[in-house]
Amino acid sequence: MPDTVLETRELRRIFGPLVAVDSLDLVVERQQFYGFLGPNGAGKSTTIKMLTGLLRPTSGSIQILGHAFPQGGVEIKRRIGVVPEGLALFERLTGVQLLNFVGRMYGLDRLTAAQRATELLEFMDLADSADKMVADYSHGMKKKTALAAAVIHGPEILFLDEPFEGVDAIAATTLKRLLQRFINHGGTIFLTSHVLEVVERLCTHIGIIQNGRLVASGSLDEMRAGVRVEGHDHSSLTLEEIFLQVVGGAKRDEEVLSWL
Amino acid sequence: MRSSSRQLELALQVVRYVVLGIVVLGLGIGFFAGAYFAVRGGKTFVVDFLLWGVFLIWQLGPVLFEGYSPGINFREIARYPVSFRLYFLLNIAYGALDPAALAGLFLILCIWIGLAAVSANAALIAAPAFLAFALLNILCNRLLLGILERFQSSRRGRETLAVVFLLFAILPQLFQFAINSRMTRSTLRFLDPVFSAAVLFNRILPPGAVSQTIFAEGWSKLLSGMLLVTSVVLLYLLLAQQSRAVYEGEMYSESRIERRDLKARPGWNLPLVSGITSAIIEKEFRYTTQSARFIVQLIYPIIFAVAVLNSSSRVYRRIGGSPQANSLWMLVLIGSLLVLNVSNLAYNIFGMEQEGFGRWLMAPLRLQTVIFAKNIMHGILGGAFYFVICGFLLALGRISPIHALTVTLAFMASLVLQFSMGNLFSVHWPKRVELGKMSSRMVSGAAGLVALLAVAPAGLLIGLAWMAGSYWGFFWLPPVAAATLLAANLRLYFYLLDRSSAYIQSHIEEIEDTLTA
Repeated sequence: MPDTVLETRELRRIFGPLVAVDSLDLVVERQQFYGFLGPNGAGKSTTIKMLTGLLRPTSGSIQILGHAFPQGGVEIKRRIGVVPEGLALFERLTGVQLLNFVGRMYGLDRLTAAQRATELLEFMDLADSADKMVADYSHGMKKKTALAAAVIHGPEILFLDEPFEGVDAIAATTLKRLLQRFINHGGTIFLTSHVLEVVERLCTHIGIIQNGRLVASGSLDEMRAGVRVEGHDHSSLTLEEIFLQVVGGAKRDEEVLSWL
Repeated sequence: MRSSSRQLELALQVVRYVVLGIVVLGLGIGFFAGAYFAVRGGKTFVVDFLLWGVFLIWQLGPVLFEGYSPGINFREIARYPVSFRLYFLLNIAYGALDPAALAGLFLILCIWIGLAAVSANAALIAAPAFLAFALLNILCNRLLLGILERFQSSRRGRETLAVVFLLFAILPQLFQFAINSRMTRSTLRFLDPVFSAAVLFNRILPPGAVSQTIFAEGWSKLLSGMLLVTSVVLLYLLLAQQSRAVYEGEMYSESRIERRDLKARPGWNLPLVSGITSAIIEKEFRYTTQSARFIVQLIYPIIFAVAVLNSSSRVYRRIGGSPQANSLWMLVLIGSLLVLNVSNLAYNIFGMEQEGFGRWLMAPLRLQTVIFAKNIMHGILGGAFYFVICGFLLALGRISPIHALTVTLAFMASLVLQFSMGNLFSVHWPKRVELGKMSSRMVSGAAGLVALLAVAPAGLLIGLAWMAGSYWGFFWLPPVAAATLLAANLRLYFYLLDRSSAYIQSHIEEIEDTLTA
């Protein structure tokens, strides 16, 4: 029987006149690698912020690991790891100080926090820069540090907002290795990304959001079965083709920029 | 502009512009009068001082008050399809429109009017000399800012520069205290060679060369004029070379990565507090002490207090005051200075964390714990010096235990009140602190005023209790009043701590927007 670790019902968030997320019903099972896709401004980051307690929903409910926000907020936060949009790093700490501190903030004892910080910095190829201030790290190094900070306490679910954005191929490989390892050990990942190739390769399940509404959801095979593209057989559809078909964003070249 | 903190900042910015305008107008009147009376009285060296004033305002103003200048990055303009000639002209024109440059031009005009009012001949020669001086200032300032930009290409460079400027702002005050308290006319004689050299150098440096061009005679006048023109041409060529490099896409590299061994030491384990509180206190200590600028700001009132007390002890001796009374006055003064200075930490507790603020919201913590731990560390950093001094005075027998107890309780009561108000301020009017920017303040503009108002009632109450105690002979009244005040303030602190945490929860987006903008 599937074990639901995340469920939202009628989730809605309004900013003034803008409905950023509307009637969102999401279900994520344990050990799923869930890719949450959508065009710019579709509501991905707003959703992930609400799921991690960084933003209050206007209405609707969120259940994570059997607890509901906001009552069970502290318990949920203890059991999840987050790489938010802005990374939320204390940049005037060194890499090792930051990881050590984050570990202890999640209740690890001093020795365990120090040991895990060391292991994570080595795994992320950041050991040489461990005593350097995070403010002086490159963007890729900061992303790796943020991911290390998200997993140091051994969470059950990881929420990642665009983890591969602005990251070079070497850093991306390290991040993917860590995420795959996390899934293999029973973890669940909820990830937003614009890099569809990466989502296609890593994710087991996909949800597509457009104008704040979930317009498609399921495994990649279920998505292929549900989408028809002219001149294509279902099994060969790429995620990009499915995505464009679902959000209807592909305009023919002759329709636009005729002067170019 | 949605948030009230930004509206408040805008209002304060407008007030600052108005105040600056009044200051510049006042300076202009002073410069006019200075030039007028100097030339009329044959003391033309005064004009040298006035021109040095203009030069320093023009060159240092845009750096020290960068927040007042419209921020155009000329590196960005080079990306647009503009020719080098246009790019270079825009660069110079922009320099002429900086508020400091406008103030400089106004002051030069005031000096010129002062000269013209006394001597038409001097004004006739001064006109081209002053024009050359203005051009020189524009070119020199653009060149200087270009060089500073190189330093500012790395975080370390930016912060080092901010600390250097802060020290420059502090040193003259310390020098003044040293002169006032220790030096006499005879002990200053060793500075004579320095003054002689300064007079000589003044003649070949821009302000002196302008003055020489106007007031000197014969060859001296001609040579000074030529020196001025040569300086302008030289600066023009240097700026052209610098601008060309930027226009052609020169990049300043970030600092290189230094290879070091990994040292993950276990964190602090403080007594009396939980592991999490201990970790937050440690984080706060590292965060604040790993900023050179912050350390300078923390130490500054201590140096200031020592310098003031040095003077006050001489005054006390002169008026025949007792050493005990002087020690008590010292302790009260140090306590007051530290309580006021702690507002730099207490009134914007999330400002230095910027994007890191979000980490507190993601963590399985009560925000009360976070704020409380921050306050504890800031209280220790801001107040430790008081306890050192108080301990010394007690050990030396320079202050009675009852007085020490009263002042210490009052100090702690004021500190607690500062943190209570500071927490409210931190969440209602948070401010992103940019340590690499000279103009970036540690706290919102109104915080200093509120900090002062928050301390005043405590001082008044304890003062009244002290007087009443002395009048009726109730020696116990002042410490009891101070202890009561401390208890009341602690109650208020915990009440406002809850209010501040609740405010964060209901205004997360607004606070995040401000801190990450």
